[in-house]
Amino acid sequence: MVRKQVIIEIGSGTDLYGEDVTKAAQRAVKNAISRLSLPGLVNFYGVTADNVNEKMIVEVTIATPYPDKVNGEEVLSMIPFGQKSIKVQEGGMLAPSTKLDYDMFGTPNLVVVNAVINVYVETD
Amino acid sequence: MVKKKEEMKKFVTEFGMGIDLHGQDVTKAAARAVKEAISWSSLTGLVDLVGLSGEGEAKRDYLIDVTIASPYPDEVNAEEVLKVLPVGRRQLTSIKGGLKRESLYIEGLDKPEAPEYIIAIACVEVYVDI
Repeated sequence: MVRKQVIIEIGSGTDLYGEDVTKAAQRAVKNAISRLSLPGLVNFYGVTADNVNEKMIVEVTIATPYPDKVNGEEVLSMIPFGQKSIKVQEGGMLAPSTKLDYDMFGTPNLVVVNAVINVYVETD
Repeated sequence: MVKKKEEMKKFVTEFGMGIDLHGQDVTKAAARAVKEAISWSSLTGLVDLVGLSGEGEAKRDYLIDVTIASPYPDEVNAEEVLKVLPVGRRQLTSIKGGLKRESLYIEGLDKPEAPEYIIAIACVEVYVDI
């Protein structure tokens, strides 16, 4: 089996109220995968509905503030198929929010999270 | 002999949106839409599939088919829009669509007769000859 790299997708997500980094990471992943469609997986790499979960490998990298708070399983649930894995590292952005937000939600910042998704296929 | 897209197979479809806020330049909006479509992913698979090198040289033929939907399809300068793509054989189809919306007239930026925001949508499809 040879592992071939197919595409790298990039996305960004925010959580404006509540500093929920898992939610922002989910949005970053959704953003990355929603910009394009990959008919090439079927046309060139022999991926079918039956074998997609064995052949397709999806590696997610998340850069976020508070990396320990990210629930990896919930983030990966945004990806519909493939063998999924996630790596979370320190990064992203904490930006000051308004006093109104602080009074309402008790959190002083909004969070911005980056996602990079590497897609590979196992070929014979 | 170069092949038509119908004789090739599709590798990827990407989408993007571009806006020209002032100046009513539909070509500029279209170029920005293409730029957005291609800027959020890296087609690393083309290295294996067509033997693409950093200079854009390839062992197999591949084609980039761009479709632009804009409010003034006849005014889109295809050559100018396609300059945004860094490598590859390319072609453009311009169709009616997108969005235009009345804007505030600013002297020196907008055309006085019809100040508008122009929004173009791009679909970029990459075909490979295999």
